[in-house]
Amino acid sequence: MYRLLDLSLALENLDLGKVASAVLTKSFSFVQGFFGDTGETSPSFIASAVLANSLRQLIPKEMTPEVTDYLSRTALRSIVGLSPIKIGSRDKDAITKLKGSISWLTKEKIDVTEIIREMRES
Amino acid sequence: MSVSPLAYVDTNLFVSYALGEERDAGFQIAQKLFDEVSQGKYVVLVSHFALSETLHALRNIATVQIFKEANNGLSQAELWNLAKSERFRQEVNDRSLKAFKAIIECITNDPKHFRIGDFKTVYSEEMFYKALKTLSEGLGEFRVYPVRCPKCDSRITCDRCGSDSVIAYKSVNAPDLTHLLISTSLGCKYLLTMDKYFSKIPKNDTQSEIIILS
Repeated sequence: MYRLLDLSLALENLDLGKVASAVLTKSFSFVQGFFGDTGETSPSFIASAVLANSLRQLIPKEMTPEVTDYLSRTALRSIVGLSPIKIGSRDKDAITKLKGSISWLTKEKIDVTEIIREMRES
Repeated sequence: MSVSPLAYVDTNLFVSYALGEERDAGFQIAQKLFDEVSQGKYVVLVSHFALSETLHALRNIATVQIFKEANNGLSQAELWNLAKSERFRQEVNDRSLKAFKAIIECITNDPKHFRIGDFKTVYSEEMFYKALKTLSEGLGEFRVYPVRCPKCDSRITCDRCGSDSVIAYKSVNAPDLTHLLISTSLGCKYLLTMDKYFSKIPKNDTQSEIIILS
């Protein structure tokens, strides 16, 4: 299956122009590698043009605070392998879900403030 | 409509809240904060620095937990073999990453209550100079602790010298000040923490106001 959007690569730089450029360059290279570079009328050129058009629709046209925040979230998720979320989406129960979400990590009651204090002083 | 102030939340509050009531001594404090966040008192700023520390703390907790699950009475050589085994490494990594993912999943899914540190903020060397100045102007304190078994927490005494306690230097440190610098640079009105050593940092009108929750 083609991997048209390499999100982790794109999100390394949150400047929209560079994001678009990085994604397009990577995708063009892939398509060209597949079809072979035989000039502008080749299947690679057609495939690239179709791909570019698709990507233009996917990438936000303006860097609003909402888009910046969204890209930061998506970049953070990509670090741990979580799938991207839709821009503007929200889980209203997220704070509730966070509470005790990792209680299984230890079987005893600990003092995490003290643990982190020791980490900072070591 | 009033806008909720941006609050930088220290690592200890995140991890405590995620560990829950049965697992962390400071949970009630953390819960009160996140209840207030739910009610709109603050918008939480999540920095990548705090998340890095969170991951490190989770790996520490996972390591200790797996160590405690191991058989009692292991010799140093046997413990070394355990520590070097791929299975042990994998288990620590799997558990801590699973916990970290759970935290990331929650905070990235709620832009109303959690804001992520933006990529555009630049930190000046001058700020770290000021942090160094703060550290150099005050000596911390010394504390004495009983020596305890890391596996069962019983008090122990050295067979050779008879010592049963250790002395340690405790103070606000570079990571604490780095949190404050990041908080200030990211425009947070408050820095919220459960760590009382933050009280040693001198107040300054140009930085985030430190609130020690208790």
